[in-house]
Amino acid sequence: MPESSSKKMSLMGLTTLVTVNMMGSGIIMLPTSMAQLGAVSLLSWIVTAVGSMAIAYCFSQCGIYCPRSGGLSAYTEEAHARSGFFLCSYLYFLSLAIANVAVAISAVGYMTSFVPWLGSGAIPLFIGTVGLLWLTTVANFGGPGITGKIGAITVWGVIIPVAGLSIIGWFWFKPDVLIAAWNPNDLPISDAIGKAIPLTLWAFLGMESAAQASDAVEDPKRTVPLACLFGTLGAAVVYVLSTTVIQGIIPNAELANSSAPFALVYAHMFNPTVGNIIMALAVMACVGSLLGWQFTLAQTAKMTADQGMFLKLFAKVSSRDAPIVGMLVCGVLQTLLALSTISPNASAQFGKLVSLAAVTNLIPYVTAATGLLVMMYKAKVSTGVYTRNTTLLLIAVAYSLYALYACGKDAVFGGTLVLVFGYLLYGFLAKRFVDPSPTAQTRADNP
Amino acid sequence: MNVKLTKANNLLLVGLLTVIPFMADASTLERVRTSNTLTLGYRSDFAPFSAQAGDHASGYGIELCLKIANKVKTELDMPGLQVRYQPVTAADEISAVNSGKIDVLCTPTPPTLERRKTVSFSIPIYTAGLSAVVRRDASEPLLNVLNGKVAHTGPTWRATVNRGLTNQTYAVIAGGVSEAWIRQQMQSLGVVAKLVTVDNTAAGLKLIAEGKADAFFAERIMLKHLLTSERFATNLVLLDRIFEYSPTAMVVDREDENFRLLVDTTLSELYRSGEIGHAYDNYLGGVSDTDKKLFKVYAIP
Repeated sequence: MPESSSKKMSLMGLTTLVTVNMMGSGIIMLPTSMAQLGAVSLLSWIVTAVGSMAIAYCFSQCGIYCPRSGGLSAYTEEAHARSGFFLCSYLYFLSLAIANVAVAISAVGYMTSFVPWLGSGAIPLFIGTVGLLWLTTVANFGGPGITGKIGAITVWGVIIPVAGLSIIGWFWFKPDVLIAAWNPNDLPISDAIGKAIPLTLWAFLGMESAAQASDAVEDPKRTVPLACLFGTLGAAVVYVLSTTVIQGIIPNAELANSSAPFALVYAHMFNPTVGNIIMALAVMACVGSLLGWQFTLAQTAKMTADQGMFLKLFAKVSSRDAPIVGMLVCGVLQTLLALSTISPNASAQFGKLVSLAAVTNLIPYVTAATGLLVMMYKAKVSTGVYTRNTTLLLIAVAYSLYALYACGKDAVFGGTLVLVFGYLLYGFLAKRFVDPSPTAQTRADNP
Repeated sequence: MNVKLTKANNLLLVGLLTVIPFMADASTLERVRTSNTLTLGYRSDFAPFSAQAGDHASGYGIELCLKIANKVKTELDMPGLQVRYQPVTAADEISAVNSGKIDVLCTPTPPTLERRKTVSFSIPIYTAGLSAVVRRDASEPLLNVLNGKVAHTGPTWRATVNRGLTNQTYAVIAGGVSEAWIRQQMQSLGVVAKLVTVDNTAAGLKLIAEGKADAFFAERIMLKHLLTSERFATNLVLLDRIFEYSPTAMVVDREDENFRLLVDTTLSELYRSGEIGHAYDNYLGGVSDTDKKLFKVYAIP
């Protein structure tokens, strides 16, 4: 596709997109939930960071061998054919459509410390959520180049508070505070680690957003694999350092009961004003991540529509390469989902959808990563590369399966129903991909 | 000592020394006999256990205390015994018994070792249960933790709103045993929460109704009583769960075992005869099977 590259996203832009997508909304409360279990929970990073890096590695390998448009769905098609492409897109699209609404609700929750009105009831929450969803939808109308540039600003909302803490926090770090926080509930170590893994198990979901943007970046064959690896690695380093250093600055009891741990630690190191600025930055990062996710959602729909598997309207792009019509449709869909904030009962139901969305995010990991086996076969890679990649692939799939298992019965149950429903949808689509070949006639001779 | 003791002074001193033990021993029963009055202490904000009713008092504890008054009348053979009601506050309820200002505290009170240093307790008269009131629209994580489940089930990922850690405000009556319990439990309850204290049950419920706090912990029957009587309580619900049980008793003077024996005898007879059931029916909404079992446990043979 010969298009001017100024409209496209650079390697830097895509890497920040991946990091912000991953950390933007999840990091804000992470130190609190880890502190409730104690500093022993830091050990869980060993498992989750390694497993997640294996997945990121597989995706980046897929990106090298399969540079075509389609992201996870294209990787999936390598091993699981066209229905795999559709199901992957369908599951992933649902996951993002739901998750983005939830991210908007969280962001509004964090904003209440600046705009108390937003927290004064169900209607303000709804208005705030819908407002944020549309703000981040419209901000994507400028095309991928603009999205990347806005992302380059909002990423500072993560860099300053979180990455900054990983560096300067060590001057305030006291080993005895960390030791005192080690295991406040006096759990047996194996129990504590078992309980801690779920805190960080899903923290890396989002590493695939590099692949989903392959249509919108410069030189995808190089940019996508590197952004996937660097983005995930960066997130891992920052996650581990920041959640470690914070537990050595703030005493455990205080941290475990904080609704804004990063603001708390900066207020402790400097003063409450700095704490408030940090909270504002964290909110900015959260909104920035929502922007990135809305972009990824529209891109996923566009790539799938390009293959003739989603409605054509998702594929229509503006002169600046933005699938505006598709974004509008997603916005309307999400506005309907956001209605759930109005009643507590509907919120509880929406909470179940959010859990289900994690499942439909993880199934494509397995289908996409396993595509690598076919890609390596086609590319006739050396035995050394094959062995290395297959080993990492097995780790990645094992990790994905464990993450799926840990989602729990309810979420996996719902996710499975959604998956099976996808087969019905594909049944209606499949005739589009039938080759009119003479072999279809042979059945007539064979009653 | 510069005072030179004369014979007269010595005599006086001897006289005083013989009087002082008698005064310190001025037992409840002696006091009742000399004043011809039994003073029933009660907390006026403890409906349905004890509450002000005109210049009298009423409630479960008061009804039991009146049975004790009857017993005193027959035991001391004082048919003309006066019964006086004396309201006390959280701050002075224990010292009022200790100083003899009241003869018995009728409001059921949980015994503690600290309280036992200054006063004594009857056999249990009621088993208090600590429960909580929330608004009907309480968030799911809060309801989960209050009902003893984990705050959030399912995956915790970027889309999990607040990671399931909603920011809550708990309320509890200041200074009671529940406050100590909540402070100890808050961390293990699994949501981010701060604690505010209130003066009485009605004030706590009001905080919840106004949305200034999210869960109010107090004695279950008192909560139930207020929920049916207060107008602002329509959007509130009482949880089924009882966090802690605590036997509560009447407070009596530490120095008068005879009076305590009289109180315990009266109560044990009420338990054994099943007469206590009337008081339960009148004030506490009837007797449950568990209550019946406990009656047998509490009654001294």
